[in-house]
Amino acid sequence: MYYYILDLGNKNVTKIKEKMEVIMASYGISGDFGKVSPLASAYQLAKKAVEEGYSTVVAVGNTEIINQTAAALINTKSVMGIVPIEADQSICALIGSDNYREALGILRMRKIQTIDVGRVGENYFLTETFLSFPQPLPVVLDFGQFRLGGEFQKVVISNGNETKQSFLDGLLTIKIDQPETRGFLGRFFQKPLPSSLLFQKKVTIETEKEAPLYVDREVVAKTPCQIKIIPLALQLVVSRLHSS
Amino acid sequence: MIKDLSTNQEETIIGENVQVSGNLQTSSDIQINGKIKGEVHSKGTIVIGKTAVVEGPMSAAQIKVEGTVRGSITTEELLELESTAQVFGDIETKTLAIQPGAVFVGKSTMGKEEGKKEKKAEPELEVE
Repeated sequence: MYYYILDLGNKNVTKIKEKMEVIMASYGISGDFGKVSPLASAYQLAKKAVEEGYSTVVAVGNTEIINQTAAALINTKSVMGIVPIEADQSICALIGSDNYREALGILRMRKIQTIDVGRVGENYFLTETFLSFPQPLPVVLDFGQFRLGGEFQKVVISNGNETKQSFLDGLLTIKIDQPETRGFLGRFFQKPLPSSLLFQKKVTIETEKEAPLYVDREVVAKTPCQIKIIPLALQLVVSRLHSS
Repeated sequence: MIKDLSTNQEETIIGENVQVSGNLQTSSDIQINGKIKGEVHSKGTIVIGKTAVVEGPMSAAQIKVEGTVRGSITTEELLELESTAQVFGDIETKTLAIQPGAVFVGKSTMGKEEGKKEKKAEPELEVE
């Protein structure tokens, strides 16, 4: 039985709701709806759906709605579906589609893959969390066996890798943007400096002053903060053509 | 010849202006362009870039040095010291390639894998 979590605060979700219902009926994947409101978050709706025994809980909306739904489904028997509306490209890449018609088609085919999920503080993320500053600031990343420090402008911690898109390897990908040290002409004639790239199971981020970590546009934690991978924690419906 | 790893998005890269302290151990290849104080171990390839300074022992299947290393280097297969390399420490490798201009101060032990025949160089050898 399917349970769809809709963010009707998102105009684009409201716009396609009726069209979605027609497609869902024709695909045989109709179900019940839960509407996100100030009184019921996507996380709360998904938790309730799990308790009520829905086999598939589908997040319809942006990255925030998708991450909240995922958090409620970690290590449960319920399978997660995603219909991305204004979601990050990385989420679309994860399921193998960036539009609702295709996403509903993927739900119908029901290829299930168990994937890793990232945890930042008390929150979870499917694709990435990041720390970003207008100017480079001192940041220390503690990996347990070693510590890495420098002045960084952006640190992105992803579940998977930009090129491999692996959500099954049990590792976080940590990418650190290098501050621009080349001169004006150098920017045109020299190759960009390579960023730092590491693959680890967990990392603690420390900054001199408290700094926010974001998932999508939402602040989910503040430094100092530990981020870790939870291996094979979520069952997700993905495209048959898609391989993680 | 060991290839440059800096454009490979699947391997560990320590960027310029980055400082690492502690024991960096990985099964993947590593490209180092920053400063490291501590041990570096890889089951694959380590490339020490021109801007890199490593203070500590390192080991890998193969290692290419373009920057500065203060510490011992152990490789199972190949060690390449490029013309910009500065190595202050003992090296142990199966095959050694030193380009003109490279600086090496230390003791070298070669060909250990092949019949345990050790060939020791002079205690202080400088190739420039």
